[in-house]
Amino acid sequence: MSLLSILIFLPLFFIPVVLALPDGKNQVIKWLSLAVTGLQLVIATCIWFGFDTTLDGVLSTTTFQFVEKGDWIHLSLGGLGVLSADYFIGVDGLNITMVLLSAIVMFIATISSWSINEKVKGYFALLLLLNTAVFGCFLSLDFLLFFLFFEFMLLPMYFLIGIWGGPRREYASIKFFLYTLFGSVFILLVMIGLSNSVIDPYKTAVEVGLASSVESATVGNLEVLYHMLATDQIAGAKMVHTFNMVYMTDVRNFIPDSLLGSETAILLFNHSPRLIAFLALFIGFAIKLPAVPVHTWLPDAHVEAPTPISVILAGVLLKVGGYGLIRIGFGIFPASAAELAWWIALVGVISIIYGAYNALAMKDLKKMIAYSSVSHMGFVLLGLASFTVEGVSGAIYQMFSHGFISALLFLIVGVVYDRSHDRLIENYRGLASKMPYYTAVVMIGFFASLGLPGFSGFIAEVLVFLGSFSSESLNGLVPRWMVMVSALGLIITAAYYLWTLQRMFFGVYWVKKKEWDTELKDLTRREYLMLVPLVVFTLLFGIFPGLALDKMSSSVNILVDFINTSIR
Amino acid sequence: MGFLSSSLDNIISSAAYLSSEFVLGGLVLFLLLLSIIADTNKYKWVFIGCTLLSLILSLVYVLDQKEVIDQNLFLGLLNINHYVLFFKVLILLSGSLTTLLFIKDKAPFDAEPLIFMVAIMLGLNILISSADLLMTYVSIELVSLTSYAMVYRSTSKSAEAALKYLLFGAVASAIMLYGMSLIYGVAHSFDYETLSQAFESVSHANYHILILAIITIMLGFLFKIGSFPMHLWIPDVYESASTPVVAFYSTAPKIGGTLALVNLCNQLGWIGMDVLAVFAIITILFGNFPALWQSNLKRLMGYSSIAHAGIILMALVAFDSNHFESLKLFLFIYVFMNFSAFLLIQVCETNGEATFENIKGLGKQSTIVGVVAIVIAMSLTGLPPTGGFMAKFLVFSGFWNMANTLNQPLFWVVLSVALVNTVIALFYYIKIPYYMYFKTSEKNSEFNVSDGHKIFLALSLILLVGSFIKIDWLLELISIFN
Repeated sequence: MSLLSILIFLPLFFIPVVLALPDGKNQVIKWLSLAVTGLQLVIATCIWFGFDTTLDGVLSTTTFQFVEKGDWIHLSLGGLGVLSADYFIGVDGLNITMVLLSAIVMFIATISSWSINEKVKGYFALLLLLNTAVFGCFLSLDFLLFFLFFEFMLLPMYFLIGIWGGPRREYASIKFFLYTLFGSVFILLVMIGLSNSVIDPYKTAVEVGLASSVESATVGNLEVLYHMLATDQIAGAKMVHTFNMVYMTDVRNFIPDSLLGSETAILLFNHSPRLIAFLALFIGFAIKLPAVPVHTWLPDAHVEAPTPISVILAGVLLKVGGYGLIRIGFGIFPASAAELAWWIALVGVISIIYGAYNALAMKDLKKMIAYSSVSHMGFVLLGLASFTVEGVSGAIYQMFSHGFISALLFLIVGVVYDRSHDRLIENYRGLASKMPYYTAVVMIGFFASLGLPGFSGFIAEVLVFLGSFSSESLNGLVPRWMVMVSALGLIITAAYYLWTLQRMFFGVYWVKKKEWDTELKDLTRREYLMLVPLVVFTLLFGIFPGLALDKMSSSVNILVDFINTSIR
Repeated sequence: MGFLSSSLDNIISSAAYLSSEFVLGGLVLFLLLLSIIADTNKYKWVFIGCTLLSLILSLVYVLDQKEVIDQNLFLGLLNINHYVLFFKVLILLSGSLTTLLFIKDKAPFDAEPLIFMVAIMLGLNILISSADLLMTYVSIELVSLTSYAMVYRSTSKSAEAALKYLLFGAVASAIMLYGMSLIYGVAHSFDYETLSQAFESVSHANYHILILAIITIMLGFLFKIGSFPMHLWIPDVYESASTPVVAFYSTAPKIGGTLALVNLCNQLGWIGMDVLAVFAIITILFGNFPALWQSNLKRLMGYSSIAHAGIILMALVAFDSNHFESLKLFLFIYVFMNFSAFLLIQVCETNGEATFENIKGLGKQSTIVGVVAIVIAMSLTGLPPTGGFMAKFLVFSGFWNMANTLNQPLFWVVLSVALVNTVIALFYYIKIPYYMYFKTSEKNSEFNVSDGHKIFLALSLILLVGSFIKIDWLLELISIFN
């Protein structure tokens, strides 16, 4: 069964259906979209439970699960050799959590979209398109396929923010688009370079005549091929260049005299090309993550986006940056990543502190949460830079957990915004007496986000701190002072959440405008339906972290080993 | 007598290889006569039908020449190889698409632009197969002179643009001719083969003169490609000429100029590639930055075509027989992409002049127009999943390969700047869907798209997306000519 393909293309398949429905069938469109995302959730759950935790993935094509592989592009470019891209998707420990997270967040964002009543058809068509792009991005193991989906996320987002967004939506949407495209240009540059430098060993073996077909190629054939490649016996025209990300992790697949090959003697601007390539990838993904100082698109985009889009943006899209950095950046250029670990950690620490301080200063509730996202994504970088099992697991866990928590927080903002169309913290006081259940959920959300034990955020942050603290003695990559400084971020985080709680929810009830009094009612059934599952998930993964950690452990182990071997 | 008779034999046997050009020449004469005796408006379909049929016939003849490639014809004046055949097909293709655009244009139908177009195609076909400087000059003049007339006759307000075009063109021709005379002075010959031999034995003093001569001749071709420093005529011409005419200009002469340049360089050696690389990057910048401030779609496309000329130059710099596939694919996709864009502009022109002001809210009124506008904007920018991405990707990939082999810092800078320019390009291309969706028109006029236009818009959508998903098929199609 091609579960993953269904997962990716199910929404795409339903776009024409949505578009073909006559005008005015808004309810049908909404239920249809919900059914699609519901089905995806079921599939994602099946994958989650069917996942074999002993298989490690990452570095070897055979240990991925639910794999689908087929030829996609096969261009014979004369002396340039053959350019080959595969339709290659699969799951391992690095993306299994992201798949489940995306399915849950997408489902909840669809429920949250119920309040959209303008141009419903276009909205849901774009939402379904975005859905396809998100899953495609997490599941692709072929760089070209990944890049296709990565770019494809931009366009629906651009329109979703630009048409259904707030007052400054046009500025925010174009800023988002340009920023992210600027980042992906760097990724594209590396992709061009990699596809020029890496060969597909199996297909090249067939092309050279060592094996009769890709399936029948043996280990012995490959040994001969690698020997031929190393001694420059393969003509350029016979090389099958590949976009396969897994092949790119193996240095033997690099053409020796190519720019990005590990043996290359060429220097670009006095640095190793591999280092520059990693840096380009890092910039590209850091913009998406986002990390300070390339984060400025995020607050704008979040503030202007409608609630469900904010939920998807924070809950899923930011994770693509972190995921891409792990899979592509670290997987393909481990030594360069380790060389730059100090800087990655520094960017992480700055993001943590700077994001938190900004959040403290924000008057707009949504902007505050947007900056808290920047701060929390800093932990991802800090954890990754340590290259310890705890640190990397913590980083992935942080992405997973932040997905639920940030979705919850943006929905919380949506609740109050839907009622009064105002998000300024100073315009409310003592909401607890007016909306007690809402306040309870807000408190859970805030405490989860500031890392209270029992919630998933706590586990993630503890792991990140454990990993990065032990890094100095294990591999000497992240200095201890950085970890101590970033711990300060936790205090500021607590400060802004508690302060907001105090200002908005405690004390005597007061709101700026009288007419809001009638509007500000407690949670509706639909809102419970969105908020409660997220609360349950944060608690579940906070109390039983093993549920998710087991899934990723063997993949993380092999990746960390791989990077630490390449340092030596 | 022996020389004369063998020469005559050569000429007579050569004539057989020019069937497709004879068809074009005959078509020009026929259309001219027809336009004198018949009312052009009444017999519009006869004009268009005849043109299309003849172009198809011409195409059949081109395909028929597949077996007899690498022939020296007319005593070495012309040379037909498989590059030439493919480029002839591209030129015929752009001609046919232009003819289709003539059907429903806003400007009233007139036979003259159509006739000029066929004449230009004739000139381009000879230009790309020419193996002799004199032949090159004559054919490039045929192209240029008819081009000026074509701009002048295309709309009532294009006189100023035509005059500018004429002046720039005259200067370009003069410079080119100057270079040719220098070459003749040094090598005492016009034909490429003798020239290349003369080049190898040239004295040191004369070598610099030859370099100068080649660069001046290149400038003549760059005028046709529309790249820096010969790009200044483009925006005005694009703004004022009628849509089909502009669509034709943005493709056929560029294609012809590209291959003419390739032919010259192939024979004389690839000299001055660093200069060309610098020109490429300046062209891209000169195309992209002014485009940011445009409000007229056709003028915008003018700057866009300058930027694309820069990419063509990059492909040329990376060119050797290895990278030729990527140049071919790029141009092939470029033709479709540009015609789709001009088709869209033509559709928008039913709403008045194609300015951002006039396309406000069109996407909300017609889904197909909106969707095609998005896909075209993405394709011109070079984003997946469109053919434009693949086209640019292959050119950049070829460029990377060349830069990797030569490893000069200049080439890395060029590649990086070209890539970053994608972001600038997005900024102005995205304005098209932006105005179509984010803005609402103040006018209450009804916006109707004819069925014919809808079909062609849908076709261009399929082609643009299809050429990303299955670029293999496109390559297979192209490899017919190998």
